[in-house]
Amino acid sequence: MSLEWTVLVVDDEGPIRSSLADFLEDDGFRTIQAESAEKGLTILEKNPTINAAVVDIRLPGDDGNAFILKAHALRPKIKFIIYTGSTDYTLSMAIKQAGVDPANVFHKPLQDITTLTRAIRRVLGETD
Amino acid sequence: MKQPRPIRLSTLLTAYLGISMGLLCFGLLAWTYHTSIQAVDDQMSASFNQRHAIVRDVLESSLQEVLYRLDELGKDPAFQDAVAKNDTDRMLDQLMATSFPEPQNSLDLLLVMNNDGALLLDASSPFFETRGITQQLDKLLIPLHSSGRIVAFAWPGDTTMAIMGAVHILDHQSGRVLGSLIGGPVLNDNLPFAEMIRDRTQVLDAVLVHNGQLIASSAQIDSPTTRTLLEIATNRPPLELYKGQGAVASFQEFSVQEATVPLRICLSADGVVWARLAASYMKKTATLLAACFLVVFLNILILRKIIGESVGKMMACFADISSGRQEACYQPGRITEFNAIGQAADAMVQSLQIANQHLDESERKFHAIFDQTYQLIGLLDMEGRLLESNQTSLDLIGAGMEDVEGKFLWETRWWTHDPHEAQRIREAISQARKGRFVRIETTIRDAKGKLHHVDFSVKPALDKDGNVTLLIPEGRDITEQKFVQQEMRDLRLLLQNILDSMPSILVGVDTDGKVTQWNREAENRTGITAREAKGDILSRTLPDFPLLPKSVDEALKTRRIVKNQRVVVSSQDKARFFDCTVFPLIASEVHGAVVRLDEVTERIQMEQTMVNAEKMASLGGLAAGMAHEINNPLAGMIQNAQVISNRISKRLAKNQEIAKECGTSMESIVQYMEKRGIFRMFSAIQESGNRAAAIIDNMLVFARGRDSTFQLQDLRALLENALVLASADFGLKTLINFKKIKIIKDFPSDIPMAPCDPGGMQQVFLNLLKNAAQALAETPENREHATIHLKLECEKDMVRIEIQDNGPGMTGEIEKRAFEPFYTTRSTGKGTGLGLSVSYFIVTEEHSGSLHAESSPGKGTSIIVRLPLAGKIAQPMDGVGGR
Repeated sequence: MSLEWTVLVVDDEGPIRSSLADFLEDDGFRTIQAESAEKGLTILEKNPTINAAVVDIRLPGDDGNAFILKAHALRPKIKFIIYTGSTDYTLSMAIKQAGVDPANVFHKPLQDITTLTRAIRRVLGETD
Repeated sequence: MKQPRPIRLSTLLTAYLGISMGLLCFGLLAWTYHTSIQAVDDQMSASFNQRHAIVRDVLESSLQEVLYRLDELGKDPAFQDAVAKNDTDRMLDQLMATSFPEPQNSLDLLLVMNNDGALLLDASSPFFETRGITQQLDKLLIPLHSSGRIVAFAWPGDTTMAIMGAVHILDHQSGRVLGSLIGGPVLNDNLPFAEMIRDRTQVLDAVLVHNGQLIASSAQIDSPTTRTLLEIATNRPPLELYKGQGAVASFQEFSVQEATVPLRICLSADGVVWARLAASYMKKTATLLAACFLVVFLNILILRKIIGESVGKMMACFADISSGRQEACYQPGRITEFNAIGQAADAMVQSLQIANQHLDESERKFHAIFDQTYQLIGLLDMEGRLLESNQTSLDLIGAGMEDVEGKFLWETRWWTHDPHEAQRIREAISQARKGRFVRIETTIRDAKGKLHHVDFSVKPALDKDGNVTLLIPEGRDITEQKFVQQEMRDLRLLLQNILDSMPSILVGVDTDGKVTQWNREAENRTGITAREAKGDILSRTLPDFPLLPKSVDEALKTRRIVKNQRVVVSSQDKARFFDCTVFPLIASEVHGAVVRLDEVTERIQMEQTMVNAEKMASLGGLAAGMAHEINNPLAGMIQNAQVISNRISKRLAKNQEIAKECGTSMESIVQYMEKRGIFRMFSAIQESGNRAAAIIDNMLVFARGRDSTFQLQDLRALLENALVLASADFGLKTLINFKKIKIIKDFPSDIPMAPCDPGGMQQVFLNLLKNAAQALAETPENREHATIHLKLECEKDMVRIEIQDNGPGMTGEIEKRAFEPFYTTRSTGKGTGLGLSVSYFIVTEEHSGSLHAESSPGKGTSIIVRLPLAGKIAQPMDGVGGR
């Protein structure tokens, strides 16, 4: 944990969003929370330090996919982790071009959230 | 047979009269001749018999004359004296003195004998040789005494015949016999004697013959007459009349002493008598012939005139009739009988005329029928040659009567198209010739080349004695019927084939409920053949369907289709299902019904399977819809619990820091929480959350193929893991202590790594182990020996995993439904009912393997999983989709 990463958590469900943020913070990340895609984008515009985003797909307004595409357009360096409750989610071509691969897709609920934290660190270039 | 040459009646009559009259005349002539000859013969015979009597008288009188003269000599005393004195000279003188007036009776031979029989004197004529006579005196004397005989004296080379007499010389005083006198005339060449006979008998000639030698003759000795008579007297029998050579002759015989051959005296009369007779005969014949010719001529004249005229009229009449004249034509003549015949002919002509009209009419009708009938008709002789054929038959092959008449039927154009058919016709005719009615089917090719099927028959026509005289061939064109029959046969066959190829049992019944149709499926199903079934009633042929007759009755009564679905038939241990449909057969009235039975057992099973699949699918759909909604709160729950666990842990520096700020320490908090069981509770929250997540996850299996990650896995390790998980299973613990179950692991070391989704397979193994444990828990009394036997085995390209328990086992019904989702034998709450079905789904659908159960009640259950070794390509992926 030599670096301090800033992770944007985009999820419309408070208990999940906050608990995830808490867990990440406990694990040494800095976190910013957004309850919708639109708010997430606003935050992204204001915070150039954000390195990665954990994105739910089903969101009010723009969905997670739209957010990823817009965010990627805005900040191409940001890495994305998809964390969705949809069981039938598949990656679209555009999302894959935004740098998301299947290994970065997680389905809720995760028995152990450290799986997710390890994945964030991996996409940010840290080695386990 | 040779035809006789015709002869004219007049010629015949003339010839007949000529011949018969000629024969009559000839007969009359023959008869006249015969009777004339007979009469002349009789007359002549009588005449000659008188003459022969005269000859006998002549001989007798000659002898008497001789005896008389000898007696006269002997009585002379002078002679007696001379004899007594034996004085030969005196004796001779005395004898010489005696005169002999008749030369024919002169004593040519004269001998004097003494008393002792010795010759005293031979006073015979010196012309005759007497020496021989004297030597034969002894023989002569005794029979000659007092009687005369013709005596033959035989000399060497000559015979002398004489009439000899003998008398005793008696002494005129004493009466003493002095001696004998023997003598008589010699007949040889005694012309006077012959003349005397001729004269006395008044014949032409008289001849004396002895032994073929002419003794004496009245005629000249060497004349034709003499020779003829000699010939007759030598070679012919006596006392018969001989005619010829201008003379008539007959002879008689006289016995001769001293000779065996008699003397024959033959007389001949003049042939003039015969000439007179012949003349009278000729006259009679001429008269008779003239009379005959006259009669014949008259007869012919009368016959020709009377009979010929009548016959001529009749002939004219008959000629008219035969030339076709049909009215009466006979002109009556003079003879009643012929008139009657003529009138009868006229009457006959008239009735014939009427009969002819009828016949013509009848024949016209017959020919109209014969020729115009649709049937083929003909007439054959005994050999099978065609005598007659009707027009229809001829038209069929486009032939004229002249083309076929007189030919053998099988060689005619009706059968030239097929030698085999021709041979059959020939055989049929030869059968018919034996008096049998023959009927066959054959073919005929018509003039246009079209083949006709013909119902052909040959019938023998019999005379009154029952002999076959004619054959009547008949034919009926049955091409159309044949075609229709064939079509019907084809149709019937087609229908039968359709019925037979139906997978349903199809049974036709009549209005009485008797079976009329029984298809192959019915045969196969019941083991009753169509032949056996037909005519029988339904309750006997289909006893498994007791309600069927009732349905049939209902269908017949209501004229509606009666359906009974899913009729259960129990056979052996299995229940089978049938759909029964009864169709009433209705045209204008009810003819019967068709029963259709379809076994739907499989369909029902399939439906059930489909229902299961549907259940799984709908479950999947439901899970997919619910998953997001449930997974999110679950995630909130689990995550928060994990954060809480994190934040109550001592190892996090921030926790220590915050605890200090709060005036306490993490140690105290941990201590507190441990004492209050908070950690355990958080674990329970996490575990519950995870279980809920697992259920959702299981349910999602049905909704989609899991995004499973295939890796080469050591199945032993997976099984070990599953055992650990099972023993840790909270729900299971309430039922049975897993650790007390004896686990036998039969894991060979050479089991290869198998490509599989480790999570999926672990779930499968866990499910199976839990099921086994739950099964063992069902028999608490057997808990001491509860065993789970795990076997790994390599089979070709598969790995076989067997999980065997010694629990109560499954019944067939349970075994069948074991893989249905939510099917469970356990009470609610003790199982989800998804375990086996999910396992089944994972193994078969995701791993292309197989999973099946082997079980029987009381003997435990084996679940056998097979995984292919060449499974999906393993793609190592880290931590994706894990739990």
